[in-house]
Amino acid sequence: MISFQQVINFREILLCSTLSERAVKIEFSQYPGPHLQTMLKLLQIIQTGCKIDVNTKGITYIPGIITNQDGMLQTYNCGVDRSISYYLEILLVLSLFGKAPLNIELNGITNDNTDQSVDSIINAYIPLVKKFIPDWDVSLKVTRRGFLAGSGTVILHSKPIKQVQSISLIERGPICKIRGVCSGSKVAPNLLNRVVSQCRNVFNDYIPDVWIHTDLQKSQKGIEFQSGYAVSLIAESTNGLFISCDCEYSNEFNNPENVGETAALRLLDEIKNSGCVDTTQQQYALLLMAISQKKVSQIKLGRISTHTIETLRIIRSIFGVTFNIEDSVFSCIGCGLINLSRQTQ
Amino acid sequence: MSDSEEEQVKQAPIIKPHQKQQKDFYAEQLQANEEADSQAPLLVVVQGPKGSGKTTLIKSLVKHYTGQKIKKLVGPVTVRSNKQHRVTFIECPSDINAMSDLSKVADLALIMIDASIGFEMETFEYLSLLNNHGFPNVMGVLTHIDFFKDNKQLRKTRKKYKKRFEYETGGNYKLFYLQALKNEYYLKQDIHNLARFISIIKIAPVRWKTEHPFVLADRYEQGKDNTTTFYGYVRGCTYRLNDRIHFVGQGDYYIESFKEVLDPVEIITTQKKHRSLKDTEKLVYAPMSSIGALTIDATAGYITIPQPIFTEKNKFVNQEDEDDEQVEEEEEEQELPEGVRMVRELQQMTEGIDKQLEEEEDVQLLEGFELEQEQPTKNKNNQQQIQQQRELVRLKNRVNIKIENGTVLPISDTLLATDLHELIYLNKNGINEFDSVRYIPKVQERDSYKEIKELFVTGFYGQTDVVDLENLEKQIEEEEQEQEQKEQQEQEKQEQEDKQNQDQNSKEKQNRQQLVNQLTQSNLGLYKKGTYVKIVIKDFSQQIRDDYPMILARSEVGEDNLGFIKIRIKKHRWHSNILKSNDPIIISLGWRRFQTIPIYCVQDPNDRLRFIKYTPEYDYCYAIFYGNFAPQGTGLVCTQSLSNKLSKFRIAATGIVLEMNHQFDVMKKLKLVGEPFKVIKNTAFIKGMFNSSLEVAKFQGGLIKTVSGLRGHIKKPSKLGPDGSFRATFEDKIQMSDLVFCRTWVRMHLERFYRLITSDVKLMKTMWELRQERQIPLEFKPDSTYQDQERVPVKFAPLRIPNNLQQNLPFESKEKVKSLSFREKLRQQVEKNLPVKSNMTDKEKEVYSLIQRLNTIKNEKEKKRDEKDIQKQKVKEAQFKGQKQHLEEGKRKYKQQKQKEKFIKQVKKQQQQ
Repeated sequence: MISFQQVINFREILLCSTLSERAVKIEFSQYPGPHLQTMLKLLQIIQTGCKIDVNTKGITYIPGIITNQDGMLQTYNCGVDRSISYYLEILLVLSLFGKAPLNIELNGITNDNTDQSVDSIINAYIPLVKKFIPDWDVSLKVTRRGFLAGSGTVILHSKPIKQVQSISLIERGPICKIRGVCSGSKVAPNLLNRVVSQCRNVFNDYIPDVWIHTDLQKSQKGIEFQSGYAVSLIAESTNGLFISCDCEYSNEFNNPENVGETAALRLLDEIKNSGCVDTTQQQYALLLMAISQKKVSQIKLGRISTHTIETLRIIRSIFGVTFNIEDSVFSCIGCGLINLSRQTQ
Repeated sequence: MSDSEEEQVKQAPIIKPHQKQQKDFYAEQLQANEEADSQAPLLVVVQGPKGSGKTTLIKSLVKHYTGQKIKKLVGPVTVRSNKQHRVTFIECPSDINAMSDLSKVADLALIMIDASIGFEMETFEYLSLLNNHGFPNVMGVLTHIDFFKDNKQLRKTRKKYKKRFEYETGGNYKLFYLQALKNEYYLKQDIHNLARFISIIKIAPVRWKTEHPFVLADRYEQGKDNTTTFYGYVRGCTYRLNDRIHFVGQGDYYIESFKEVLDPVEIITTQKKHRSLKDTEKLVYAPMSSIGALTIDATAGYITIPQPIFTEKNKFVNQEDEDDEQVEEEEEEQELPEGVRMVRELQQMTEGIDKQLEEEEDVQLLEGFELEQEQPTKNKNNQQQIQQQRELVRLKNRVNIKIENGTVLPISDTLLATDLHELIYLNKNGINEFDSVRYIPKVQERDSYKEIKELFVTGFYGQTDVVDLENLEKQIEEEEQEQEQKEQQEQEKQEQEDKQNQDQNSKEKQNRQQLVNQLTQSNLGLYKKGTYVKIVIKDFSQQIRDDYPMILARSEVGEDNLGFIKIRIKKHRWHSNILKSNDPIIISLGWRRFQTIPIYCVQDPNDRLRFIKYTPEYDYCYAIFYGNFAPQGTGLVCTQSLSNKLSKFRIAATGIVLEMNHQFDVMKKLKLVGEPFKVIKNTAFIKGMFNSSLEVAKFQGGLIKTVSGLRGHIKKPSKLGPDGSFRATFEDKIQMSDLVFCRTWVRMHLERFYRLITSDVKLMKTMWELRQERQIPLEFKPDSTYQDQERVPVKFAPLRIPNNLQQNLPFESKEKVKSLSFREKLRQQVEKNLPVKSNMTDKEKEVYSLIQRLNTIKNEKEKKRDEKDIQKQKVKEAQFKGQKQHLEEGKRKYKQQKQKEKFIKQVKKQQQQ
């Protein structure tokens, strides 16, 4: 039993604990919010033999084996507290170490201003994980957009694997493409076009190969949609690495030109300051390196977020992997995590 | 088992599935072996039955490598075989625990076979253990050859054993012959050959070992405060430090400290002219055995003072054989080396050297002193005395100087050059203070990003030149020329690139190696294989047996968890009895050995796991038990007991891990039987299947079947009949004599029983053992024994075809002769049975005529009586008739009179009016 004290960010602890099948005891410094319950329920759905004890101070979590309900399609409501991608980020990693393929339909918010958008996950996060697992069979589709009220739907299919491979990402290479998705619901169609044209306006100084799709949610009977729009931008480098960023309509950015320009400038900032992976997703790259096969993995990072630092500490206390940092290159020997729940004949 | 084995020898060797898996793995490994240069000492396990010459072989090999003689062999012995190569020898006791542990760690197994006896049970057991724990290299050694005086017979047996050995090991391994003993050692030439083969052998990587680091402890010290210190080489693969360690055969323990210490048998890296080892470089490290009087390692030195040897003149008196050096020492008594002098001074000391050293600060022993004398004592009493007087001396100064080079500080004290490392791992502030959100970059002004133009593909073409129209044609020509040149250059380039690629591949390997080295040297808790480490374990106070191997294995992520494991298992063909479900069994899986309760099952075509009571005799089946997780494809070995009595083959079964889960559905078939008590057309009422209507309600809609194969459904509980009876419908009318079955499946309970095998474990007993112990006879149920069946032949009613059907039948099937009705048949029969007159005797005739006459009399009488009766009746009837007529006439007259009177009255009334 590994105990963590004064915790708010429980998600990475639960993720590492489930992967390593080590029990953890978490003591919260304050109640993190209703998404704790949603997360624990989700973890219970995809596992067998999982035991969770919740008390006033914190939780005791004994992970089981990820069976994914023998590959049956499940539906899960993620609620409106956090967006779908908050759960997707760890669900994608967990589904690698399952017994059966994960087929799940998640309902909730697709775009909000605390987590990455689902588009960034599709276009940047999944390619990143695929760097570690080249033959990973995965599909993630957005069937319905949801802003604020959480009427969005996402369908995920993911097949388990045997082991994560080690990688060496040292050079990003120059940026050769910029792609993006501009999504919205219950807004005038030309709003999205205005966002796109403003993005282009910024990128025109740098690169001509810019292509931003627009995805306007059509109204459906019986479903109430909240109005809103967001843009997710992805920069692809010549070495096949992706850097993503998001910007949504909010009080601060309340006209489409503003949203478009901020999104584009954020992407430029990420390109300037981050290494091979963008700042949001770097912690998952490091986690995958830590659980990869027993060989040397390397990755070059730019700036490091506080969450990454926390994740690194969690990785060390659960997996015992310490990273060697030299000239912003993080290197480690993976702990060789094997998918123990896999079925063999 | 000699005859049957010989038959088996003739068959071709079989490659088993897990061996094939292992083969594929070799290829994979050879491609990417990153840690090629760091090598742990080659671990050679010497195994054989008692009296086959294991100890003698190790002693001979050590003598060959170093020229030293081992008196008493305990624990592993490490020798330097050449500058880059070290070998560790360890003797394997014939205990099943030690055998299975050593089969997991061996790089090379020397299997000793006594030629005078032949192959013994242990050899086969050990081979089978090796086979299932990832087959390492194997070498057979045939000893006691001098038993055969006849040369021809010797050759014959040699050939026979060789064939047999090749069959057992798959055909790729050598069988050595050690001729005879000379002065308690094997012949020099034989040992020389064997040593050559050991040093040139290419180690086959075993999957388990390349993923699981371990330390085979050379020696141990038990401290006062329940801590125990172990020393040994890191083997297998790179050791990543974590908080726990598994002591094989003892359990999991927390590590107090894990340090790299001075390697007692270092690899010589400095390049010198001489290829062979100098005499001083020939080293043997056997801390638990008795070689010399002085052993020094990183932290402590041990001096054995054999008291009876010393005379007052401070002379070594060697009773057996005197080494040359010692003779020299005696000669140069007055000019003794410093070390020797100090040791001799130690004999006369009254207080411990610890105290002496505290007083004098600058005590230093000079380097290069060697004490290679042996203990010239044979008497047991003397040995005990020596052991009593073996004193522990701490040579503070010398030791400290040496350690500083090799010791690694604990992680918490280290600092890396970069501040980032400090920030992440050492600074405890601000851990987990934020909930995870995405990183939102702080955007600066638009113009401030202009500098990152070069990060884009197009960044290099930022400033375009103005096109000169006049020079355009020239430019085009030039370009064409350039293109031709380019093509030529490209071809050359490609050739160069091919060469470069080859170089790069080798360079990449070097680079990777450098990376590994860099990582292991930067204090991240990584220890390369081949480093000599000191491990201090907390709360360990058990007795350690010296002759057992002390294996300390890292407890890997996820593998110390408990849960249900599904394995494919096969009873070993030489084990005498089959295995029973729910009988405890000892399983050696991964590093751990434990007792558990398995359930055996087979898989139906619809993927249902069906419970079976016993394992099949010669086939695979599945087993599910509660135990430690191990990666899929790991081999395992089952035994039924730990006793060392070799009455039968100890290995009960072998298997391979398939799947892990926290629950498995193992089903057992259950047939519920009921019988109909009322049948109406296709509906039947059935009793005796269930006990209550509630049970019936649970099975509503369930499928049922009669013995004759009619299918049906359970409909509803009925009020008729006893409680639990129900109404059911079938596809046709069932017979009252039919039995009705309901086929159901019951989930079997899987026992969560797990007991790690340690030195003082109490094992769970099997039912059989308990019965034996407590004299309980087998449970006997009278209805489960077989009995002779008495069957009454069934009489069926004759076939009757209705007339309607009969008429419509084709002529062929029609009845040709008209069948008689029942009455006619009966009459015919009666007629047949009537006695025939002609056949009667006279007496019978008389009797018959008499009866006839009597009958006629009787008949006549009856006739007369009848006639009388009839006449009487007629009279009665006539009387009755007459009376009736008379009565009716009277009535009529009465009526007429009345009418007359009425009429007169009426007339009178009319007249009066």
